[in-house]
Amino acid sequence: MLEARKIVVGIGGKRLLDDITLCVKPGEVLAVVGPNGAGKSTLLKTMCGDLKPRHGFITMNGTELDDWPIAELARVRGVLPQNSTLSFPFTVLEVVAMGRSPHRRNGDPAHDDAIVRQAMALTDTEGFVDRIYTTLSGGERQRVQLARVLTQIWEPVGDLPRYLLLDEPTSALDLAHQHSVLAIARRFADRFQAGVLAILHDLNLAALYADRIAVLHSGRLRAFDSPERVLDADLIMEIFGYPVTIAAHPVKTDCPLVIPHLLQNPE
Amino acid sequence: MKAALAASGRTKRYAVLVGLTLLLFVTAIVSLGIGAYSITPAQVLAILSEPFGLHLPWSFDNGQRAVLESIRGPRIALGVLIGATLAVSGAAMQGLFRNPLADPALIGVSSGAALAAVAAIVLETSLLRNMAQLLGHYYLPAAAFLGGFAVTWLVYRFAGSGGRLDVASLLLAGIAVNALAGSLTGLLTSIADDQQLRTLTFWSMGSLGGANWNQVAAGLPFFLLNLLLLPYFSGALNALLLGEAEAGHLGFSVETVKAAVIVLVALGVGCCVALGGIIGFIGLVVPHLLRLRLGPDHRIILPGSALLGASLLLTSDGLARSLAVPAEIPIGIVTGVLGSPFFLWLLYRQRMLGG
Repeated sequence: MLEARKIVVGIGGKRLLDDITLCVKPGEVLAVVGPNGAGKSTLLKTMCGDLKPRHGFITMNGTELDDWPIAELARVRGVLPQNSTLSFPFTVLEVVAMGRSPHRRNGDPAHDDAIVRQAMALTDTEGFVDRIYTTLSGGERQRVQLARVLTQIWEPVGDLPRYLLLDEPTSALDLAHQHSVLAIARRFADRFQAGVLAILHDLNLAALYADRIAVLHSGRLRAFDSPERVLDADLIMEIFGYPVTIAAHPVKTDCPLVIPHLLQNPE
Repeated sequence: MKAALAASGRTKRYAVLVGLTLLLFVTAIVSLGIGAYSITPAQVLAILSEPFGLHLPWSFDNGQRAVLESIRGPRIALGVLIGATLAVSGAAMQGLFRNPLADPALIGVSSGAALAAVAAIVLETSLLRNMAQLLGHYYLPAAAFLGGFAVTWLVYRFAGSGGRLDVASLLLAGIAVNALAGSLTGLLTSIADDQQLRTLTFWSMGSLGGANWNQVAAGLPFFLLNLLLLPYFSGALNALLLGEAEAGHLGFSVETVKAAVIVLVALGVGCCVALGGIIGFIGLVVPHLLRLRLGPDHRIILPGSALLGASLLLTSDGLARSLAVPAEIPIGIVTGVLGSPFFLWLLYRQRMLGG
C-alpha cells in the first residue's frame, strides 16, 4: 500500500496541502481530480518523495519513503512526469530503454530489449522507434515516456507490489490514446495487482477507469470514495464552480456520466 | 527486429570508437615527428618499438631518439592527457547542465586557476617567495590547481543549499565568479613587469611548450581519476537529461552524482590549466561534434570525447608548432581560431534546424 498520513506540505507561509490522508491499494486505480491549483501535482510529488511533507509521512509497503534505498524504490515504482525537459536528441528507443537502468546491474541485454519492445507495442509507440524524441508531438512524447515508465516496473521484484504514479497522463492525447493509456493503467492494476495513482482532469475518464476518486480543493481532500459516491452535481458545483447533471452511462450503466451544462451568460 | 536495430546501433558505435582510436594513434605518431628536428612517422615507429626488442627496417640517429624521448614524448603525452580530460569534462558538464553549449570553464575552474597562477607570478610577498623556493618548478602548477579548486568550491557553495545543488544557480554563480576572477587577473596583469608578462601569456593563452616527464607524472593521477571515473556516471548523466526528478525516480542518487561530477571535473581541468594554461573550445566542440554523429548517449560520448579531444589537441599543437617556425603560436590561440567559427556554425545550424 502507498499511503499518505496526515501530510502537510507548504512553501514559505503558504500551505499547498493540508492534512491529507489517503492511500493507493495494490490492484487499485486511484484518480486524483480537482480544479487548477488544488494541489494535485504537489500531492503526486509528495507521494513519490520529490517534495518532503512538513508534517505527516508517506509509506510504501509499510516502510517510510525516506527509508527506501533509492535504487530499490526505482525497481518497484515508476513515475510519469507531466512534461519532460529532455532536449538532447535521443532516439525514442534510447529513451524507452532508459527505463531498464534500475535493472541493468543484473539484467541481460536481450531480455531488456524484449521488455522495451513489448512496452512500445503496448503504448503504440513502436512506429517511431528510430525517430528523434525531440521531433515528436506532445502526445507522442507522453506515450514514449509512459513506455519508459512501464519498462521500469514491467516485471515483479520478489513479491513486492508495484506502483505507477501518473501526472496528467492524458493531457496531450487524442480520444483513442486517452482511453488506451488508461486501459493500460487499468490492466496493470488488474493483472499484476499494481497500485496506480493518476491525476486526471476529465471526470468521465476518472469515472470509467478508477476504483476510487480523490477530490482535492485548495489543498484539502474534499472527497475520497468510489466514483458513484463522489461524482455528485452539488459537490462538482461547489468545487469546480460549474453546473453539471449526473446521468448513468448508456453503455456501462453502473458508471456515472458527468454532463456539463451550457453557460447562458459567459462573462 | 527492433532488438536487431539496437544491436546494429551498438556495432556502429564500437566501430566509431575503434576508428577514433586509430585516428589518435596516427595523430600521435605524426605529432611526434613534427618540429625543427624532423623525424618521419616510420622513424617514430622504429624508435618507439625498439625498447620492445622489435627492429623495424627504418634507420634513425641518436639525436632523433633523444629529441623524441625527452622533448616530444612528454609534450605529446601531456597533449593527449589534457585534450582527453578537457573533452570528457566538457561532455560531462554539458550533460550535467542539460545544455549542449556548456563548458568546463563555467564552474570557474579555469579562471580560478589562471587567477592563482597570475597572483603567484606577480605578487612577491615573502610567504609566496618561500613557497616558490620550496616547490620549485611545481610552484605555479600547484598554485593554479589550488586556485581552480578554490574558485569551483566557491561557485558550488553559492549554488547549493540544504544539500541540494541548483544547476541554474550554479551557472549564474559561475558567470559572476568568472567575471570577478577575470577582473582580478586583469588587475594583476596591469601591475606586472615585462618579465612577468611573458610568463603570464603562458597561462592566458596556453602552451604545451615546457612539458617534461615530471609534469606528466605529477598530473597523471588527477587526469586518470577524471578519465576513468567520469564514464562510470554515463548512465546517470543520460538519466539526468530527462530531468533531475526523473533521474531520481530511475534510481540514481542525483545529488551524489552532481557533486562527484563537479569534483572530478575540477580535479581534471584544474590539472589541465596548471600544466598547459587555458586552452579553450576543446571541451565545448569535441562532445558536440560527436553528438552530431552518434547521438547523446554518454556511454559512447564520454570515451569518444577522450579519443577525439586528444587527437584534436595534438593537431592544434602540431599547427601551433609548425605555422610560424621558428616561433611557436600559443595553442589556446589555435584552438580559439579554429573553435570560434565552428561554434558559431553550430549555433547557426541549430537555429536553422529550429531548435
